[in-house]
Amino acid sequence: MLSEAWIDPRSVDWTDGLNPLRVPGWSRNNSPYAYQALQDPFMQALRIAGGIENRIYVAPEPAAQLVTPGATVDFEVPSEPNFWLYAVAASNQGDDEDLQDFLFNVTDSETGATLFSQPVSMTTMNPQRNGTADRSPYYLLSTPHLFASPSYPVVRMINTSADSQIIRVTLFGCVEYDRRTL
Amino acid sequence: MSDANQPDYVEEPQLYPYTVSLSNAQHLENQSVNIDRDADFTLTGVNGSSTGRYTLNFRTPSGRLISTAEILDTDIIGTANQPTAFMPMVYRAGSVGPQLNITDVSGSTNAVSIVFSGIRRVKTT
Repeated sequence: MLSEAWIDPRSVDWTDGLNPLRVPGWSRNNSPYAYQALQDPFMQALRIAGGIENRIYVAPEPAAQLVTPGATVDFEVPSEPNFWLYAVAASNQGDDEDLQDFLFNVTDSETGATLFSQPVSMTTMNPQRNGTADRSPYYLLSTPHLFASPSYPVVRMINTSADSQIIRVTLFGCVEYDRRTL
Repeated sequence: MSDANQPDYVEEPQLYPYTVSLSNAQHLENQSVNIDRDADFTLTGVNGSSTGRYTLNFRTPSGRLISTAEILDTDIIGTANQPTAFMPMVYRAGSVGPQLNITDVSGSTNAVSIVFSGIRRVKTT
Protein backbone atom coordinates (compact mmCIF):
# COMPACT_ATOMS: atom_id res chain seq x y z
CA MET A 1 0.00 0.00 0.00
CA LEU A 2 2.84 2.38 0.82
CA SER A 3 4.09 2.17 -2.75
CA GLU A 4 0.73 3.26 -4.16
CA ALA A 5 0.49 6.81 -5.43
CA TRP A 6 -1.68 9.07 -3.29
CA ILE A 7 -4.95 10.05 -4.97
CA ASP A 8 -6.21 13.56 -4.36
CA PRO A 9 -9.82 12.96 -3.26
CA ARG A 10 -10.85 16.19 -4.99
CA SER A 11 -9.97 14.56 -8.31
CA VAL A 12 -12.26 11.58 -7.72
CA ASP A 13 -15.72 11.70 -9.25
CA TRP A 14 -17.63 10.18 -6.35
CA THR A 15 -20.92 10.39 -8.23
CA ASP A 16 -19.73 7.72 -10.62
CA GLY A 17 -21.74 4.55 -9.91
CA LEU A 18 -18.96 2.34 -11.23
CA ASN A 19 -16.30 3.94 -9.05
CA PRO A 20 -14.80 1.08 -7.00
CA LEU A 21 -13.71 3.58 -4.37
CA ARG A 22 -17.30 4.24 -3.33
CA VAL A 23 -18.76 0.71 -3.42
CA PRO A 24 -17.51 -1.47 -0.53
CA GLY A 25 -18.02 -4.72 -2.43
CA TRP A 26 -15.62 -3.55 -5.12
CA SER A 27 -12.89 -2.38 -2.78
CA ARG A 28 -9.33 -3.50 -3.29
CA ASN A 29 -9.68 -5.91 -0.36
CA ASN A 30 -13.19 -7.28 -0.99
CA SER A 31 -12.86 -7.89 -4.71
CA PRO A 32 -9.41 -7.23 -6.17
CA TYR A 33 -10.64 -8.44 -9.57
CA ALA A 34 -13.60 -6.04 -9.76
CA TYR A 35 -11.41 -3.24 -8.40
CA GLN A 36 -8.85 -3.76 -11.14
CA ALA A 37 -11.52 -4.17 -13.83
CA LEU A 38 -13.16 -0.87 -12.89
CA GLN A 39 -9.80 0.89 -12.72
CA ASP A 40 -8.84 -0.34 -16.18
CA PRO A 41 -7.82 2.68 -18.30
CA PHE A 42 -10.50 2.07 -20.92
CA MET A 43 -13.15 1.61 -18.24
CA GLN A 44 -12.05 4.82 -16.53
CA ALA A 45 -12.17 6.68 -19.84
CA LEU A 46 -15.75 5.46 -20.42
CA ARG A 47 -16.83 6.37 -16.90
CA ILE A 48 -15.81 9.99 -17.33
CA ALA A 49 -16.59 10.39 -21.03
CA GLY A 50 -19.25 12.83 -22.18
CA GLY A 51 -22.31 11.73 -24.12
CA ILE A 52 -22.29 8.16 -22.81
CA GLU A 53 -25.61 6.33 -22.85
CA ASN A 54 -26.24 3.01 -21.19
CA ARG A 55 -27.45 0.09 -23.28
CA ILE A 56 -28.57 -3.35 -22.19
CA TYR A 57 -29.20 -6.13 -24.69
CA VAL A 58 -31.05 -9.30 -23.76
CA ALA A 59 -30.23 -12.39 -25.81
CA PRO A 60 -32.13 -14.06 -27.30
CA GLU A 61 -35.32 -12.09 -27.87
CA PRO A 62 -38.16 -13.10 -25.49
CA ALA A 63 -40.02 -15.23 -28.06
CA ALA A 64 -36.93 -17.41 -28.58
CA GLN A 65 -35.82 -17.82 -24.97
CA LEU A 66 -37.42 -21.26 -24.47
CA VAL A 67 -34.74 -23.63 -25.74
CA THR A 68 -35.13 -27.38 -26.21
CA PRO A 69 -32.61 -29.86 -24.73
CA GLY A 70 -29.30 -29.96 -26.57
CA ALA A 71 -30.23 -27.12 -28.89
CA THR A 72 -27.80 -24.38 -29.85
CA VAL A 73 -29.06 -20.82 -30.34
CA ASP A 74 -27.06 -18.10 -32.05
CA PHE A 75 -28.38 -14.59 -31.50
CA GLU A 76 -27.07 -11.63 -33.45
CA VAL A 77 -27.40 -8.71 -31.06
CA PRO A 78 -28.93 -5.62 -32.70
CA SER A 79 -26.41 -3.32 -31.07
CA GLU A 80 -25.74 0.26 -32.03
CA PRO A 81 -22.43 1.22 -33.66
CA ASN A 82 -19.41 1.37 -31.37
CA PHE A 83 -20.95 -0.53 -28.50
CA TRP A 84 -18.72 -0.94 -25.46
CA LEU A 85 -19.50 -4.15 -23.57
CA TYR A 86 -18.34 -4.07 -19.95
CA ALA A 87 -20.36 -6.77 -18.17
CA VAL A 88 -22.47 -9.87 -18.80
CA ALA A 89 -25.13 -11.70 -16.80
CA ALA A 90 -26.69 -15.10 -17.49
CA SER A 91 -29.69 -16.82 -15.96
CA ASN A 92 -32.26 -19.52 -16.59
CA GLN A 93 -35.84 -20.39 -15.71
CA GLY A 94 -37.35 -23.84 -15.71
CA ASP A 95 -39.10 -26.49 -13.64
CA ASP A 96 -35.76 -27.63 -12.19
CA GLU A 97 -33.83 -24.47 -12.82
CA ASP A 98 -31.49 -25.01 -9.88
CA LEU A 99 -30.33 -28.26 -11.48
CA GLN A 100 -30.18 -26.97 -15.05
CA ASP A 101 -27.37 -25.22 -16.81
CA PHE A 102 -26.37 -23.94 -20.22
CA LEU A 103 -23.22 -22.82 -21.95
CA PHE A 104 -22.71 -19.48 -23.63
CA ASN A 105 -20.12 -17.37 -25.36
CA VAL A 106 -20.02 -13.94 -27.02
CA THR A 107 -18.25 -13.46 -30.35
CA ASP A 108 -17.27 -10.30 -32.21
CA SER A 109 -18.94 -10.61 -35.61
CA GLU A 110 -16.06 -8.91 -37.45
CA THR A 111 -12.89 -10.03 -35.71
CA GLY A 112 -14.11 -13.40 -34.46
CA ALA A 113 -12.76 -12.61 -31.00
CA THR A 114 -14.58 -14.43 -28.22
CA LEU A 115 -15.06 -13.33 -24.62
CA PHE A 116 -14.26 -16.80 -23.37
CA SER A 117 -11.83 -19.25 -25.00
CA GLN A 118 -14.62 -21.84 -24.91
CA PRO A 119 -18.31 -21.64 -23.97
CA VAL A 120 -18.68 -20.98 -20.26
CA SER A 121 -21.24 -22.44 -17.90
CA MET A 122 -24.09 -20.18 -16.75
CA THR A 123 -23.76 -21.61 -13.23
CA THR A 124 -20.19 -20.35 -13.09
CA MET A 125 -21.19 -16.82 -14.01
CA ASN A 126 -24.50 -16.43 -12.14
CA PRO A 127 -24.10 -15.06 -8.58
CA GLN A 128 -27.33 -16.72 -7.45
CA ARG A 129 -25.82 -20.07 -8.37
CA ASN A 130 -22.15 -19.69 -7.54
CA GLY A 131 -22.54 -18.44 -3.98
CA THR A 132 -21.94 -14.72 -4.47
CA ALA A 133 -25.58 -13.57 -4.37
CA ASP A 134 -24.64 -10.62 -2.20
CA ARG A 135 -22.69 -9.13 -5.09
CA SER A 136 -23.83 -7.40 -8.25
CA PRO A 137 -25.71 -9.70 -10.63
CA TYR A 138 -23.37 -9.08 -13.53
CA TYR A 139 -19.85 -10.27 -14.26
CA LEU A 140 -17.48 -7.39 -15.01
CA LEU A 141 -15.06 -7.90 -17.88
CA SER A 142 -11.42 -7.20 -17.08
CA THR A 143 -11.49 -4.53 -19.79
CA PRO A 144 -14.45 -3.32 -21.88
CA HIS A 145 -14.75 -4.81 -25.36
CA LEU A 146 -15.45 -2.41 -28.22
CA PHE A 147 -17.63 -3.68 -31.03
CA ALA A 148 -16.37 -1.22 -33.60
CA SER A 149 -18.78 -0.53 -36.44
CA PRO A 150 -19.87 -2.57 -38.39
CA SER A 151 -19.24 -5.23 -35.76
CA TYR A 152 -21.86 -6.51 -33.35
CA PRO A 153 -21.96 -9.21 -30.65
CA VAL A 154 -23.11 -12.72 -31.49
CA VAL A 155 -24.26 -14.70 -28.46
CA ARG A 156 -24.16 -18.50 -28.70
CA MET A 157 -26.18 -20.43 -26.11
CA ILE A 158 -26.23 -24.22 -25.75
CA ASN A 159 -28.84 -25.92 -23.58
CA THR A 160 -26.90 -28.75 -21.94
CA SER A 161 -29.84 -29.87 -19.80
CA ALA A 162 -32.18 -32.78 -20.44
CA ASP A 163 -35.22 -30.49 -20.35
CA SER A 164 -36.36 -27.34 -22.07
CA GLN A 165 -35.60 -24.16 -20.19
CA ILE A 166 -35.75 -20.40 -20.61
CA ILE A 167 -32.24 -19.06 -21.03
CA ARG A 168 -31.01 -15.48 -21.11
CA VAL A 169 -27.69 -13.74 -21.54
CA THR A 170 -27.82 -10.03 -20.72
CA LEU A 171 -25.14 -7.70 -22.07
CA PHE A 172 -24.39 -4.47 -20.17
CA GLY A 173 -22.65 -1.74 -22.10
CA CYS A 174 -22.79 1.76 -23.43
CA VAL A 175 -22.57 3.76 -26.62
CA GLU A 176 -21.02 7.16 -27.04
CA TYR A 177 -22.97 9.91 -28.70
CA ASP A 178 -21.95 13.33 -29.75
CA ARG A 179 -23.10 15.49 -26.82
CA ARG A 180 -25.00 17.77 -29.17
CA THR A 181 -27.35 14.96 -30.16
CA LEU A 182 -28.49 14.30 -26.59
CA MET B 1 -9.40 26.96 -4.27
CA SER B 2 -10.47 30.45 -5.10
CA ASP B 3 -14.11 31.44 -4.72
CA ALA B 4 -14.53 31.26 -8.48
CA ASN B 5 -13.65 27.57 -8.37
CA GLN B 6 -16.02 26.68 -5.56
CA PRO B 7 -18.84 24.39 -6.69
CA ASP B 8 -22.26 26.01 -6.92
CA TYR B 9 -24.01 22.90 -5.64
CA VAL B 10 -24.04 20.45 -2.77
CA GLU B 11 -24.53 16.72 -3.13
CA GLU B 12 -26.78 14.64 -0.92
CA PRO B 13 -27.69 10.94 -0.91
CA GLN B 14 -31.05 10.18 -2.48
CA LEU B 15 -33.18 7.06 -2.78
CA TYR B 16 -36.23 6.84 -5.02
CA PRO B 17 -38.19 3.69 -4.14
CA TYR B 18 -40.83 2.12 -6.35
CA THR B 19 -43.22 -0.39 -4.80
CA VAL B 20 -45.96 -2.37 -6.49
CA SER B 21 -47.98 -5.53 -5.92
CA LEU B 22 -48.31 -7.46 -9.18
CA SER B 23 -50.91 -10.12 -9.85
CA ASN B 24 -50.14 -13.24 -11.87
CA ALA B 25 -48.56 -12.26 -15.22
CA GLN B 26 -49.58 -8.62 -14.76
CA HIS B 27 -47.79 -6.14 -16.98
CA LEU B 28 -47.51 -2.43 -16.20
CA GLU B 29 -46.11 0.21 -18.54
CA ASN B 30 -44.54 3.63 -18.02
CA GLN B 31 -44.58 3.61 -14.23
CA SER B 32 -43.20 6.98 -13.19
CA VAL B 33 -40.56 7.41 -10.53
CA ASN B 34 -40.84 11.16 -10.30
CA ILE B 35 -37.71 13.18 -9.62
CA ASP B 36 -37.92 16.01 -7.09
CA ARG B 37 -38.16 19.45 -8.63
CA ASP B 38 -35.40 21.00 -6.53
CA ALA B 39 -32.43 18.91 -7.66
CA ASP B 40 -31.04 16.82 -10.49
CA PHE B 41 -30.60 13.14 -9.69
CA THR B 42 -27.60 11.04 -10.67
CA LEU B 43 -28.57 7.40 -10.70
CA THR B 44 -25.70 5.29 -9.41
CA GLY B 45 -27.36 1.98 -8.59
CA VAL B 46 -30.44 -0.21 -8.46
CA ASN B 47 -31.37 -2.72 -5.78
CA GLY B 48 -34.55 -4.25 -4.47
CA SER B 49 -36.49 -7.23 -3.25
CA SER B 50 -39.56 -9.21 -4.31
CA THR B 51 -41.58 -12.26 -3.39
CA GLY B 52 -41.24 -13.72 -6.88
CA ARG B 53 -39.55 -13.21 -10.17
CA TYR B 54 -40.36 -10.43 -12.58
CA THR B 55 -38.89 -8.71 -15.60
CA LEU B 56 -38.38 -5.00 -16.04
CA ASN B 57 -37.13 -2.33 -18.36
CA PHE B 58 -36.69 1.38 -17.69
CA ARG B 59 -35.94 4.59 -19.52
CA THR B 60 -32.64 6.46 -19.65
CA PRO B 61 -32.61 10.24 -19.13
CA SER B 62 -32.96 10.71 -22.90
CA GLY B 63 -36.29 8.88 -22.74
CA ARG B 64 -35.43 5.67 -24.53
CA LEU B 65 -35.68 2.23 -22.98
CA ILE B 66 -32.35 1.04 -21.63
CA SER B 67 -32.83 -2.54 -22.85
CA THR B 68 -34.03 -4.23 -26.02
CA ALA B 69 -36.22 -6.56 -23.94
CA GLU B 70 -37.35 -6.75 -20.35
CA ILE B 71 -34.57 -7.97 -18.06
CA LEU B 72 -35.03 -10.71 -15.45
CA ASP B 73 -34.84 -9.20 -11.95
CA THR B 74 -31.97 -11.46 -10.89
CA ASP B 75 -29.92 -10.20 -13.84
CA ILE B 76 -30.15 -6.52 -12.93
CA ILE B 77 -31.43 -5.93 -9.39
CA GLY B 78 -28.56 -5.71 -6.93
CA THR B 79 -28.45 -5.95 -3.18
CA ALA B 80 -28.62 -3.22 -0.58
CA ASN B 81 -24.91 -3.42 0.12
CA GLN B 82 -24.04 -3.49 -3.56
CA PRO B 83 -26.62 -1.96 -5.87
CA THR B 84 -26.12 -2.71 -9.55
CA ALA B 85 -24.20 0.21 -11.03
CA PHE B 86 -24.41 1.76 -14.46
CA MET B 87 -22.56 4.41 -16.36
CA PRO B 88 -23.59 7.84 -15.03
CA MET B 89 -27.22 8.74 -15.76
CA VAL B 90 -28.45 12.20 -14.76
CA TYR B 91 -32.21 12.72 -14.56
CA ARG B 92 -33.21 16.36 -14.61
CA ALA B 93 -35.11 17.93 -11.73
CA GLY B 94 -38.86 17.54 -12.12
CA SER B 95 -38.60 14.83 -14.78
CA VAL B 96 -40.50 11.55 -14.77
CA GLY B 97 -37.29 9.73 -13.94
CA PRO B 98 -36.56 6.12 -14.81
CA GLN B 99 -40.02 5.19 -16.11
CA LEU B 100 -40.55 1.46 -15.63
CA ASN B 101 -42.13 -1.31 -17.63
CA ILE B 102 -42.58 -4.30 -15.34
CA THR B 103 -44.05 -7.80 -15.78
CA ASP B 104 -44.68 -10.58 -13.30
CA VAL B 105 -43.23 -13.96 -14.32
CA SER B 106 -43.62 -15.66 -10.93
CA GLY B 107 -47.01 -17.19 -11.64
CA SER B 108 -48.61 -15.72 -8.53
CA THR B 109 -48.96 -12.43 -6.72
CA ASN B 110 -45.67 -10.63 -6.38
CA ALA B 111 -44.77 -7.81 -3.99
CA VAL B 112 -41.98 -5.89 -5.68
CA SER B 113 -39.81 -3.17 -4.23
CA ILE B 114 -37.16 -1.44 -6.32
CA VAL B 115 -34.84 1.27 -5.06
CA PHE B 116 -33.11 3.68 -7.40
CA SER B 117 -30.19 5.02 -5.41
CA GLY B 118 -27.96 7.91 -6.23
CA ILE B 119 -27.03 11.46 -5.52
CA ARG B 120 -29.08 14.62 -5.72
CA ARG B 121 -27.24 17.74 -6.73
CA VAL B 122 -28.79 20.81 -5.10
CA LYS B 123 -27.92 24.20 -6.55
CA THR B 124 -26.68 26.65 -3.98
CA THR B 125 -26.63 29.75 -6.17
